[in-house]
Amino acid sequence: MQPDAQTTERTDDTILRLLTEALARKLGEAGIPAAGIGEETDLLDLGVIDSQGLLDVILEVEESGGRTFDPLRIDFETGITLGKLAGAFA
Amino acid sequence: MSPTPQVGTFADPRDAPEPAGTLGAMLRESMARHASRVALWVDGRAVTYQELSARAAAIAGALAEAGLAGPGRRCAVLGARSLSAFAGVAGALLAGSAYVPLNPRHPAARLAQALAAAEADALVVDVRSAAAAREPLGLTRHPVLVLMPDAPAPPAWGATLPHHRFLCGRDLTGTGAGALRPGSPQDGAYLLFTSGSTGAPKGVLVRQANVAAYLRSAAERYRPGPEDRFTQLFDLTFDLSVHDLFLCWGAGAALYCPPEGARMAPREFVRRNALTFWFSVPSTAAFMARLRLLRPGDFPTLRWSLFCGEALPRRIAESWAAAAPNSLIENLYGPTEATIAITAFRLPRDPAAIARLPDIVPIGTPLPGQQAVVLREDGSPAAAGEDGELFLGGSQVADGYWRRPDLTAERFRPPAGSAPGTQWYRTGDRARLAPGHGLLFLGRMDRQVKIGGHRVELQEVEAALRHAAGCDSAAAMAWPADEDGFARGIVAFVTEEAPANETVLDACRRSLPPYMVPSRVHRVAEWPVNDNGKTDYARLRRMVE
Repeated sequence: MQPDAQTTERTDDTILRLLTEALARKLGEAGIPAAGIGEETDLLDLGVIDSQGLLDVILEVEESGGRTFDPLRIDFETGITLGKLAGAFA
Repeated sequence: MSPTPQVGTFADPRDAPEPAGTLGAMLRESMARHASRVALWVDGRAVTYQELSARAAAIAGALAEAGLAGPGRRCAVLGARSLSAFAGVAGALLAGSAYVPLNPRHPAARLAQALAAAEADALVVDVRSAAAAREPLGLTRHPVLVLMPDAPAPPAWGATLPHHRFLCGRDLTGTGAGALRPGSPQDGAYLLFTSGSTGAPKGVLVRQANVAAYLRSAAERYRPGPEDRFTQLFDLTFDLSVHDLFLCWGAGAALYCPPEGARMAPREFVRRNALTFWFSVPSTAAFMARLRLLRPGDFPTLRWSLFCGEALPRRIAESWAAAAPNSLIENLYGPTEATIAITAFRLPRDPAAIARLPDIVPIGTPLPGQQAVVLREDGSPAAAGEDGELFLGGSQVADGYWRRPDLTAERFRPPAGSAPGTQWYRTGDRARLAPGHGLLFLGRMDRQVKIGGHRVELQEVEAALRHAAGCDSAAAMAWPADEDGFARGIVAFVTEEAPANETVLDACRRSLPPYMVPSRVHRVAEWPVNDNGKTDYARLRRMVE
């Protein structure tokens, strides 16, 4: 059975919130305020998130959100945003 | 035929292969021979050897017209894997100058320090790095010729720096390129700065002859041809990029630069472009493996997969071997001081044989004509199976540290019993000769660590922390390590009197490149010291574990 659109949207919102919180914690540890980082901000442009930092955020959300990250659903070549990451959680 | 690689014994330096010409001469030949072929895929488009040649000649010509071309000159390049940055590198080499790569992500103070230390009198700036050039140029007192090939006119802020001269797109006509003279193997090829334990970066000038020795070995080993397509994943400030650029261009092959976002996981990029040569730090493969982006048979077009820059876990090598079933895999090893890579270990094709390798893949044996010996603390050769310090010798070893005779005397000295006429470097790496595997890398003898393949002297981080915190007691350590043993970052310790953590880290970001900035700060009420009154790192480590 396909999930209805409203349920999917709610779940995506939850994942986005978890991603935002995980990123804010990551940035907080590095002494960088997370205010102003939106769904479309390219995380690599922040200059403080490397592959390890990205992995930390993804794994944390996989654990807390109970959903699996599917990297084949994200196009890394066009930049990495919270919105795109959220869309890659199956 | 190549001479037998020497490991564990001292060899006759006359066995070294004949050096090839200069990088500039090699580029000229390739650009003429392969003019219509693709040299580069970058910024979303293909660039032919002819176009790269024209852009490089324009830069070389401008250097010549300004009297800034030739041996003894250094041209810095501030750019991030862009067409103009590559053209800047090629242009400097066509001009017979050495290039000095600068990373636009590094803080302005560090860039200015490198410009001054390199005594660079020219700087090529790509379009994305124009803003990053302003502050370092403002801090640079000696006059610099600033070449901005992508810009139609000098930036407005250029007027505030009248001691520098700016040339932009239409000014770069290339007319002076005809007057350039061929260089010699003793000329500098590039000057790289690495982290320094005294608190400041140290430079290594790699000569044309050093690079030629490496490229000759690599060309014989990998036999690249015009149909090959290479990955380009390294920043220009990482000397492994020299392998990418010049092994590729020397063969008339094409160099593929994935966009920045794809650089950490270029699976689709490699597949779509049917790349044939892979070269990365093991961390890139580890990241892909952890994201489940290394699947059996994923990379059927790769025929060579090379890893270098940090220890290669066998587990990652096994995953890679399954993902790239038609590829030979090699683990390369070499510090900047010995030019790109100086030893290599070829993994067996049989997965069962890979599974029998040590947990960390061996670094193998020296490239032809190069030497590696493991010495005990008293300077005598270690027996097979015995730990010691690794010394490297041969035509790939640089002359020493740039303008640092003290450090050069300390590190670039021949071991007792070695034949005269060979240049040697004492690595500070612990190693062991293991029968059947060649050399095993066992770690460092000092406090140097690798973060994402980048070399970091923790003392340099501590110097920045002391400055930022305004106190004598500050410490840095690599922590935590992931399941493959890679250091994931740096953690800092300061006393409770230090300014707020944000202030300390902000100050670090102004002086250190991103990979050297601690990811978190611990405040210590009572600074732990050992019996000698020195910082007790073991007790600090226990505070975070």
